[in-house]
Amino acid sequence: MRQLKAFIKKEWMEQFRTNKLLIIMIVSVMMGIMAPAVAKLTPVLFETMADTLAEQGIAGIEVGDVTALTSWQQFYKNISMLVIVFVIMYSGSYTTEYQRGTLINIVTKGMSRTKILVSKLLVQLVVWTMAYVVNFVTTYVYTEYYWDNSEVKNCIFAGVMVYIFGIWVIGLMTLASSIGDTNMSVLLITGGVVAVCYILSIVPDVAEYMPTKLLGAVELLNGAVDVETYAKATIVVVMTYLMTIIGSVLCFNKKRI
Amino acid sequence: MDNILSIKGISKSFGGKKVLDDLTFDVPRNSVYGFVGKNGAGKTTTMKLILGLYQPDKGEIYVNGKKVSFGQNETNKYIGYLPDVPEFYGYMKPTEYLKLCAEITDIPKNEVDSRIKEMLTLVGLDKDNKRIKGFSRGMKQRLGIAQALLSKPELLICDEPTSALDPMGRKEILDILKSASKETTVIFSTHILTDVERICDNVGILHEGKLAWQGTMEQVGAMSSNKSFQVEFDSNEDMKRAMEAIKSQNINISNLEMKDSNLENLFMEVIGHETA
Repeated sequence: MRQLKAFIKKEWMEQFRTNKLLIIMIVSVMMGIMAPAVAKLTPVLFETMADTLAEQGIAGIEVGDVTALTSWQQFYKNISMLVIVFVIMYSGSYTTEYQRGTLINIVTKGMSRTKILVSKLLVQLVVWTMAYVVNFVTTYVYTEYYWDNSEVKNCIFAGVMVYIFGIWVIGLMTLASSIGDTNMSVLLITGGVVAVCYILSIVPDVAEYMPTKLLGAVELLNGAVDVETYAKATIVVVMTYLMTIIGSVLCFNKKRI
Repeated sequence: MDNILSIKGISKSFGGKKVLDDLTFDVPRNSVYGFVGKNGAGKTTTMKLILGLYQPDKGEIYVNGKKVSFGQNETNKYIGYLPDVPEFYGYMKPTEYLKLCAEITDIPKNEVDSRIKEMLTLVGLDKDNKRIKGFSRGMKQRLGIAQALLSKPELLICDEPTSALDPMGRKEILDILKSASKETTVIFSTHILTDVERICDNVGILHEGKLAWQGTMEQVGAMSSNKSFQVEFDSNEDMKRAMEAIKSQNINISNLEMKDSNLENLFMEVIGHETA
């Protein structure tokens, strides 16, 4: 327990002193503001440019009513960016330690490798949770201020789906880190798996089971689909997540560091 | 004899290249063991096998009578390890890093602070409590020794601790290791033979994956036929008189060499330090 606490403390210190936490939080807040801001500004933008557009022969563009739904749709358009930024920032969490040899000192002191993995996983989960909550709440507050969140159906549920997707990606990244040696291999494996899920989603019957379905939770907002349609994908996500974590522990224990 | 480390018939290949071939040797407790070999002879590989960082293809290793198994760290609690290029978390200060080490090795809470202070004083870093990022090679090497000795291990493994240092730094590191050897067994790999002569009392020579020779420093001394001496005179006059005396006695000299100017001595003089 003392070992685990010590290593979590080290990981947490790293978040602050290398400014990782600061950067991801700034990105979160900015993206959180961006969604309602874009929704609010788009009609204004079209209005001010109407004359210019008319001169160029583009006329009759109708900007529909901007509502809370527009703001949230914008949020879900941007959210994969937050996941990508997170993955890029944390893809080196293990591999830089392999390359610099910093884990050798730790492991040769009798630190259990599983505890190293658990510490890193926990800290990443906490950072992801903080980043996501900040992003979500910022959009929520602005949307509430300008419009009315109650117009949007399943607002929180849809948000939770994307949050779970993020957790799943962290599991994937952990597995990739316990296999690959470089930052690039972690990015390739993680990105590759997500890409394969997208490709398989072309088949509608398969799409229901794909973890990437959770990213499309925006369709819940106007009530077009029920929350139940997410059950299969969620079960797959939970199962594969557990598998990636078990796989990570097994691979990491035999990893040459 | 009581051995802290026993290596029994270890073989290890990397991609078809056999690095260690049926390597067998023991390290007696409370000795300073010089592990000598060319670059690429397999010194680092041997050390990483002892630490359970690599899996041997064949053979067994025992530390303090317990078998080393790959990936597990049971036997590492007896070992302090100084890697050839020790790397630390650059955003930490030495005290913070040593605290992390102390907590990992489960040093009793009430001893942690005093132990850290003791180690930093031993390696001469007690006044450098800035972030490790700005440390020089030599400072990192010293912090490496501090972290390796922190848990008072029974076996200290140092992988080429002096190879990358300037003569002054080398001397300091060797002095620290020598003083550490009072309380622990030291295994020390190097290709710098004078370093071995300075502090080791046992030597093993690794060549082509096997231990080509092993013995004590006394045996090393005895092996050379005791007919050579190195004599230094205070002045040229004395030297000439001695030579004439040898000549007048008709003593046969098979080899006479003029000693090279000792660059190390000169270096020490120029930078204003006493030589050993």
